[in-house]
Amino acid sequence: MSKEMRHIGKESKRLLGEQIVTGRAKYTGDFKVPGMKYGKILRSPHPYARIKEIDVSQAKAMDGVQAVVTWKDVDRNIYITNGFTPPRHHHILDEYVRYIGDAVALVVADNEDLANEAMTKIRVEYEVLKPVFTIDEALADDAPQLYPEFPHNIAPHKNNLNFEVGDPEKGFAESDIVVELDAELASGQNPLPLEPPVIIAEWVDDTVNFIASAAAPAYCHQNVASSLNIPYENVRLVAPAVGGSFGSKLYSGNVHCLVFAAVMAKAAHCPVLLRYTKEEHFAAHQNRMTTRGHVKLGMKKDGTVCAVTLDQLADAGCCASTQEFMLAVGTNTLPLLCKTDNKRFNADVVVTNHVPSGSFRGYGYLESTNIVTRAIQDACEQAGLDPMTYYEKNALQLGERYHNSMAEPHPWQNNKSADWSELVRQTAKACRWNERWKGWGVPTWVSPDGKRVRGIGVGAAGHSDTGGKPSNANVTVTGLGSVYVSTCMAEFGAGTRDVVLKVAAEELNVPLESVRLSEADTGATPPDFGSTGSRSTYCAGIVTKLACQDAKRKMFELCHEKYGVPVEDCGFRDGYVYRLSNPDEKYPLFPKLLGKVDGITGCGHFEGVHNSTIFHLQVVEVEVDLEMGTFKIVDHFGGSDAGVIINPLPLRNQVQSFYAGVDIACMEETVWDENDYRVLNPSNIDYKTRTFNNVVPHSHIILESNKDRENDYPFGAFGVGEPLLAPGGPAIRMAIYNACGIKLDSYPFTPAKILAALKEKEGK
Amino acid sequence: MKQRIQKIITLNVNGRDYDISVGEGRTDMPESETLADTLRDRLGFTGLKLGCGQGACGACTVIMDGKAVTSCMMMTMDCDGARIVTIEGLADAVTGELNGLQRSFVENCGYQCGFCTPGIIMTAQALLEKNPEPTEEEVREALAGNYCRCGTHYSAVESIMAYVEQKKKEKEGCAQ
Repeated sequence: MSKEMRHIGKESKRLLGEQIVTGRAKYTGDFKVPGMKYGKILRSPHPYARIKEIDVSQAKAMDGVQAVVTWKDVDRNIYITNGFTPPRHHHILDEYVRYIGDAVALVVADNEDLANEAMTKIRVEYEVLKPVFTIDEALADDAPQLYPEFPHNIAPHKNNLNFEVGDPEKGFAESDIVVELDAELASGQNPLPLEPPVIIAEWVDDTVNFIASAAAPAYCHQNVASSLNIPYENVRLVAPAVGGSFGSKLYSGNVHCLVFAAVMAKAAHCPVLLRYTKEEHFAAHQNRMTTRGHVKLGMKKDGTVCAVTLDQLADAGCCASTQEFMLAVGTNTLPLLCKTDNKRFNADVVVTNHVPSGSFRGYGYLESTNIVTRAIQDACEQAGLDPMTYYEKNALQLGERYHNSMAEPHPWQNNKSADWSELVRQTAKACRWNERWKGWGVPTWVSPDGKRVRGIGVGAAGHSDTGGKPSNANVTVTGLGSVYVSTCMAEFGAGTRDVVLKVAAEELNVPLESVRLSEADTGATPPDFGSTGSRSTYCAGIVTKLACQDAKRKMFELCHEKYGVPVEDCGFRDGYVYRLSNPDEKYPLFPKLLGKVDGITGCGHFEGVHNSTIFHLQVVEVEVDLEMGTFKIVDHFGGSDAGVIINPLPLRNQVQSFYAGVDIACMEETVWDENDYRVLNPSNIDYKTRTFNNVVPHSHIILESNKDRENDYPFGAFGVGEPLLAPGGPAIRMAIYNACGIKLDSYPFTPAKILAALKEKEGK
Repeated sequence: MKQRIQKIITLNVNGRDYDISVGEGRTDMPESETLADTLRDRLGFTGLKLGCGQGACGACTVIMDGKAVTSCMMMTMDCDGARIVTIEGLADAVTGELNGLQRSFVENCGYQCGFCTPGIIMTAQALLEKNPEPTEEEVREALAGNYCRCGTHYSAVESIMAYVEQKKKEKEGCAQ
């Protein structure tokens, strides 16, 4: 990568930039389709009930009401499904309602006020049933059953995600230290993009067209088509600017709101806009999966892991959709954090009577990292081992073999991304870890009056999914040298589309201004799994590069046919083919090779790989007020590797997007009413998040470890942003322990929990 | 032809007067309508965003009579005669040229998904009109009601402070 780049790594204005700052960027809710009406959803007041009677006649009779839909009106073949879903179970409208917020009726009216009014005129008689709210309640012998398809409230695996490799028992026997514990993540954090879910649906003949705030348009398209039980080509989805996703708009599982909108539009015979209120966004969309695990970790005193096993249960809420796949992605925490080939994993997905859980940045591995790291912290403490030494020792090196359970039937893969132990070393060096680490349970600072103490902690996380799943792109070069990239990558803030733009401009050696990206329109672009799990830099980048190369090959062949220039002696830049051996010999596409209104199209296809990993570390120092039970982060440091940096400022923004991670520990929590599991804090006021006047000192490093080595990433670049949340909570837990000797087990670490733990410690 | 007596209120948005008839007719504005809905749905200023509808996220911030307000918390009926500036009113109306604050956001990439950005810029703009040389702390306090999930807590403030510093330099340059 010693070649000087024309665009890669150079600063440029982001594609949407001027539109964002002028208010002209169009998000889904900004569109007004002619004839468009508005949808609203009547939601269940009971956690589990059968609808005995439902009378919508008064609502239907209202002037300005176009449609009212109940479970009786919806084809039973319409149910929520995707490639990873267990058997058919969750119908968008059903005779049974299964959580407070479950849909009872859909209303379409001239405006939202009218729809709300119509909902008050719907009479429903319920037979209230006994619900289950927790994993334990769901698994109890006499538990009520949510779905006849799920005996014991367990959603059967579609794919077997359990595995055992090596000899865990032998590994434990060889260990100096064996830690065994139960851990739980149950705070139900909400992804909470600022823009709530919003969809416009319109049927044209037998095709449903969506304008949708969707982060992975083709994937969403597929799941909607399956759920509506219609052919793929009967759906078209355009994603304009997306107002944040963080997993909640992948629609990898809970595609409810698109299906609702489609059913509404069909019943009302007009385009329908469905936008969730913030209350629905909090209480009736999806939140972070509640999960608990029993982990057993065997380790030598020097940090060599001998065996690790994890038994995990995931709470899907009332719809088992994407949780199984999240658990599978989470299994890669094992090879990335514990270097041993002796492993076992068992997991089940359980259904309960509350809002569905679903994808959230840190997809599955944030959850498993939180569970496994507790054991790592305990084991390191028992061994008196510096946790940074542990991470350095256990981080995957370049080319190192590891077991990726998702890669079946070829689970043994060789890490191709980076030497992650080097990232650990560089991060430790940059944050002066060696000077600051004082040992387990030893504060870094104590105030003169002894009332405030500081401690340092580190967390690490990653996954093996940055190259997973297929991508496609086409690139057309016109006779006049304009470049059109056909991609359905959506933009939700990371700068994904700028990556595609720069890769195309670099590979074709043309100005950025010559390149145009298609809309993220699944009806007009080749399918792409989408921007998930930091895969888009690699996957969208590589297909764009391949498509450019394909287009160039075709141009060179044309040049050979017409002018006899050997293909291998052809180069391309700025709209003309030239002779490599004589760069002054130029063949402008027009008029030498193509007509003015003409073009050549190259195709890029990538089927996905299983050996592209990602890793990220965070170091935090916290200060605990022993009297108040409060704590604050006094220093935050992140370590990332980008391979090669494509867009410097958007990348900086990505590595600064860590708050939803540390704030799992600091403040964020969905509060459930334990009597009926309604969400008690469904607002931006009651659900606490980081504010602009409460930021913490932050710094980071971003390595470019691919700069000088051969690799098959697009100009050396791979994704960075996905794991920014996962290390935060574990790092803070460690830092608080080192500050004041308490181990906290339930997020968030509120003053009440801290004071109780301090009291308990003193009592000992 | 029928005749009727109409109640009309007037909003001045980005320098232009808009008469809005109030009432129960289909095209009338109901008295219960919020300023955010009026600006977005009735007048087409979709640059302001609806995030929470609870006055808690700042996405719908506009400047009314010199003050930053969350327009989802205002009844349009209470705004008769008000002078309102939305994000669409910042760039030069004739040339389309961005104002300095907007330009600074573009140059410093002070946004990610961009949904919170119009509200943040309008909040900052209102602050700068009162206090042209705020400290970073004052900027952060002003933005305390603006919610951002992407994590522009650093880059948005850097964009604002870069603009403040630039203006300071320009002023010093003029003074010399």
